[in-house]
Amino acid sequence: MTAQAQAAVKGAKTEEAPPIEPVRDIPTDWEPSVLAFACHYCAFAAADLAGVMRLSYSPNVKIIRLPCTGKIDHSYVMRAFERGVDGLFVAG
Amino acid sequence: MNEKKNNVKRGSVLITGGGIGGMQAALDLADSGFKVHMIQKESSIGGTMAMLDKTFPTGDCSMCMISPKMVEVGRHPNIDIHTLSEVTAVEGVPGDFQVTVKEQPRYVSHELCTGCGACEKKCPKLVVNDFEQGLSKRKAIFSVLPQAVPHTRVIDPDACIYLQRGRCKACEKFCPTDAILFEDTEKEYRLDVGAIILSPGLARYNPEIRGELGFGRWSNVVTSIQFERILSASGPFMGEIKRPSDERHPRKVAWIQCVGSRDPRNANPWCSSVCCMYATKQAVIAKEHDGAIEPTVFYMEMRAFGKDFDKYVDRAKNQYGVTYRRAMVSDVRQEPGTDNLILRYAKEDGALVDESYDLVVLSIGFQPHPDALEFSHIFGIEPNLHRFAKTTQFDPVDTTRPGIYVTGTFQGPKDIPETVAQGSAVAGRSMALLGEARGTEITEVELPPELDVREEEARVGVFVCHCGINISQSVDVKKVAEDISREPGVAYSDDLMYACAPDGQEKIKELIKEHHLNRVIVASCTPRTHAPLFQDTIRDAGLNKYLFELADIREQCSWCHMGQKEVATRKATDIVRMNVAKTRLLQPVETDSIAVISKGMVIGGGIAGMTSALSLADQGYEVHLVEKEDQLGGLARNVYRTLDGSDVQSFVKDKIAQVKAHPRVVVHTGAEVSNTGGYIGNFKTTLTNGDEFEHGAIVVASGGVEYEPDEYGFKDSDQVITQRDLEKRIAEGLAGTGKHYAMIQCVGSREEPFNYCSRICCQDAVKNAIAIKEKDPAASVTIFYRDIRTYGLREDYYQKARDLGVLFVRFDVENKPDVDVTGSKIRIEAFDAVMNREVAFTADCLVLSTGLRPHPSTERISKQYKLTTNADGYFLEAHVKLRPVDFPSEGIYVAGLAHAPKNVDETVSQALAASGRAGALLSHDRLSVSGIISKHNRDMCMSCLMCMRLCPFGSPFIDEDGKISHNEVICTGCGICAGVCPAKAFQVNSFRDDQIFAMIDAATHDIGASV
Amino acid sequence: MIVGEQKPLDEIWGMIKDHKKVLIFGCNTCVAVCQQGGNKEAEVMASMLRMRATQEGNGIEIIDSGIERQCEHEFFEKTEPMIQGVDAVLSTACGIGVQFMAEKYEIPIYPGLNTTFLGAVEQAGVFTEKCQACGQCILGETGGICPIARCAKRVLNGPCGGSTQGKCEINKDIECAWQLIVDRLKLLNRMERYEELTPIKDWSTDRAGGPRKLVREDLVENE
Repeated sequence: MTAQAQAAVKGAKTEEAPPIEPVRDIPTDWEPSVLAFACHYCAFAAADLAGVMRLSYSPNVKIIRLPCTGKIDHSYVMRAFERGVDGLFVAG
Repeated sequence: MNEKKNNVKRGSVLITGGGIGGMQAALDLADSGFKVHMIQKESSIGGTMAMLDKTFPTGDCSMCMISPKMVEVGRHPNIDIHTLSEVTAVEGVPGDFQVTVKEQPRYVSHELCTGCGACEKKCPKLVVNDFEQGLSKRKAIFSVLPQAVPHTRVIDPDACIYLQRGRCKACEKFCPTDAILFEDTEKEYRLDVGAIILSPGLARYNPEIRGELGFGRWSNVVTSIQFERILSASGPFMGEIKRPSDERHPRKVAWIQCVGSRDPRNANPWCSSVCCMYATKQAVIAKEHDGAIEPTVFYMEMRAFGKDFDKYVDRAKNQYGVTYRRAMVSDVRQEPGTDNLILRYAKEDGALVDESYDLVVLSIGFQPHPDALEFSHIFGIEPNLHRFAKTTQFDPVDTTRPGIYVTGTFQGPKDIPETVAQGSAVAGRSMALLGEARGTEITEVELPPELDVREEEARVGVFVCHCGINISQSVDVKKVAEDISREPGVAYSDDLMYACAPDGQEKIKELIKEHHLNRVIVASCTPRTHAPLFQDTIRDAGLNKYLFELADIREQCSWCHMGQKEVATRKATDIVRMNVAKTRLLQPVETDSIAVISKGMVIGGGIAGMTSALSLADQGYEVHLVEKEDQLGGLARNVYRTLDGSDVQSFVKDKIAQVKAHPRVVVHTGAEVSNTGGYIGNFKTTLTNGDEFEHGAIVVASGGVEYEPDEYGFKDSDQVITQRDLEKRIAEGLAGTGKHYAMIQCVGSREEPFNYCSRICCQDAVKNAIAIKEKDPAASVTIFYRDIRTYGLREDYYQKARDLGVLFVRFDVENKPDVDVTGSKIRIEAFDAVMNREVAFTADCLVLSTGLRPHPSTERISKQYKLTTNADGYFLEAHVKLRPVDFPSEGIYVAGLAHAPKNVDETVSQALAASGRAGALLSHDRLSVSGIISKHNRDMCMSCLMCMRLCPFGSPFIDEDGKISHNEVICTGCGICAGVCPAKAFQVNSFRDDQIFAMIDAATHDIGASV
Repeated sequence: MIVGEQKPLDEIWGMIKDHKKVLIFGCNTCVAVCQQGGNKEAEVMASMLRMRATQEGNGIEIIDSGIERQCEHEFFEKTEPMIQGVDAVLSTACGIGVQFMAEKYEIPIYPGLNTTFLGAVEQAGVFTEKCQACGQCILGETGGICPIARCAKRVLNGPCGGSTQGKCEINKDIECAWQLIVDRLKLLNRMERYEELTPIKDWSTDRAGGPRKLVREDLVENE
């Protein structure tokens, strides 16, 4: 990489974007709806193990199996948030 | 290496022991067309690795790695697993053995048991759980571990109330499939096989023998394997670190090393070779689980001799704050009232201290099984002095009986990757023995023609499984089926008691035909284990197997929402709905296959390369051996003896002669690869001398080089030499008598920028020291060292050197010896870290243990084949534990010093492993391409190269037209290309964007906002 | 290749928020290669804008699509009905595409990107400016390194006095183009060229001569 390119990488913007909406108070009875994208080989297996061990967690978590978390696409993330999920969990 | 030939060659192999080494051998053999009989003493395969929480030095989850292998072995049509079985007699000759097997009753039918576990729940008898190392209880009918293969439950006859006292039968009463067989009896039968592989694994030292350490007396003294279970998320404390006495979180945790190892008087004389690293790993993982823990490791010598191990220990010290204390703990006592433990040890200055710890972990070593001698006797092989299988440095996986091979810890203490490598090595040895009989004992399945459903509208069939009560107790299965029947595209939806039972599968096949279903969903357990089964079922009914989805409503729903039936039912419906949405859009996948050129190329003509080439040639493949020097032999040309005294020179000469004489080996000396094109199964290589050939596999055995020191006056004096020079002098006959030889270890190793152990130098020093003392008892030898790393059975020679009077002086890296060469004498001053004072010696000869460096050609080869190297410049394998000789790029394998520094026997093992892997590949006429791969749409692609730059496997490439094309043969379907493609020109079969979107939309159908 | 950079979401929102139906329109050539304005980026941007609309309670309808290149008429044919059905377009093409569309359609065409420069892909995600399209190439004389694009002062007989240890005075991370030229000429054994003065440049072929046009008579179809 040339020095110019290195400088470009170094100088890349790192400051955080300002929040688009103000932080709101969370109602006490609110249950977030969470979608998880899990790698077939590890995180999906971990979710299976949680079941084998009878670990209980919120039923509002639903898992979509991917062949690898490398398969995650910006558009999946955007689609899920647009459709109203409150949180996304990408695990692999 | 050629055994006495027998006319009969059987196409089957018997493997005793289904640990990781046995499984690797089984899969390599079964994949290349051999029938495998796996004899397993326990009720499940998996071995020791299945008990481990994580593995060093990467911290990978052990179960996540081994469980897919177990499933693969369990499902492989060419592997028969015989559990609860032992071999009682072996007769016959290589190629044709008759083996008698005794199988204990399981009391549960493999055919009928679905693994639902209803019996286990109802069984009233609790007994100590051996798998959990006594830290928890299990039932009398049980499964060794949740991921057991086979998953058939087993009755422990010693614990079963019915079998002991004649009443109970609770399991039988509650078994929904009548799988309990109380009348089951011991069986004895004969298996005829061509070769035998021994992989019985290991036993662990019982630390109760060393009473002063308090194991068995103080409950907060645990063994390292118990601590693995404590760390494990599926262990007795679910991964929370608690101590047994009061389940309190310990703060100060001590590891005591070498318990039962390196102790010829009280225990085993050998070094177990893995404990330093697993203790480091446990300390690191413990710290990751609970940041408040303060780990201390009490050790004698830090034997971090493996690839990237020293760096791991440094990280443990510097990043995780693990304290390493070089001290022997002489006494462990419980502090009254607190259950804490007082450890007594001598500090480095000699002062005795007592220090309190909350928990003590004993790093117990490996030893052969108690019945190892009898085992050897049954198989007719010779044990070595320590009851391990006897092997030689040059044939490390051959037992003394031809046709019987050994892998793993029964050959000597070793860690996982070496065991796996030996697994592939014994597979390669068996293939060389039985090559022509390949494919004779396996049966090919005939399948009906596939229906073309591409143009049809989706007619999805949904089968919601009760799994006995596993699902139905928390999920209203009938309601799920009913609700789903209203989803668009669903043509049939109903519940089934056991979808995976033979009758369930028959029913699915019938209903596919009756209702003209063209896509199928089973809602039951996890797709990771059961999808292949149902895929075969629908294929039997004429559907493409990729028209199937498994909705996981057991592990991921009923089991984690127990007692919340309404909630769980709703979630199960959602899960099935998501899968329906995807399944509607599924398309059949045609899996391609490509022809394989059944020839190999080996780069490098040292021991690794020659061994690989000969092994492949013995297996029946033509091999091109490429050596850049004018003669074969590599670095070994300068080695005379191994640590055990074997003659390396004649071994190398013999190998060279064999290679040159072998009709299937083509030797290209004085040549290097100038270019290789193609991919797995279809390479074409041009050499610098103009030679051209095609081949299907590549073994990279390009070797290493010896470090040329400029330390300690090496370049200024003839009396300062390397171990290699000394070895030559010893071989030629040492001049003079009564001389003093000083040796300095770790010259150019274990320090930045070469912060790795060269692994061979301690052996070299000990070997040469012994040779000097044996030739000239009047001579004296002093070895200046940091840690003596004579791991495994090599420890015997360290002991021998000390017995012969070799003096060992330990120095710290900050305080290296000072060397002054004036005239004919060499003066060495050092700070002896053991004696804690300055020492000075005068020597006649100073020998530097200089270690190894990556071969200069490594960089070029890595560019040529797009292979990566580690920070030290050695080739990086596909997976440090389970794929030790594979590269991520398929069809390319690594062996020898090119991979990392190692000793001759390890190089031979690895070379045999590489050729075992390559041979398994070359045995196929055609290679079928996986169905789950990324499909490239060349019309949409604008060759921005993102995919090519980011693909870890090199599947996208710039083709002859100068545009991006995609090589599906080496695609693994990870989908990184699809994720980064700005033109959306890639889609992964069965994980297409439209299918994932459909799942997202279905998952959010009740909260859905704007789209 | 033309390199662009997405505008901040706030700025984009400010441009489109008063419309009823907006098309986010990707261009699948140069700006797709730099992962800023291809069909995928248009899709992601549309999604972000829809979420913004939801948050602001704005009923605007946002759709997305894209074509191979927004600087050629023929590519637009397939998406014509879609463009006719919206009241504004946010183009994620370079400035060329935006203007080209604006000439074609009588609705507002907004830029989604700042078109930054003509550059090379140094490695995935790193782009560097190499050319200013001055219309009179002198790379043959300067060892293949352009002093117009890469020297801050566009000096033709450099270096200037601000060159220190191979770096430019405006920023120590920027290499002095003239240092690079000298190094390169040395490597090529062409230092005699360095001794020759380059005459004053005719800037009329650059922007100074007004907007440029190139006509290849042999390719123009005569009606």
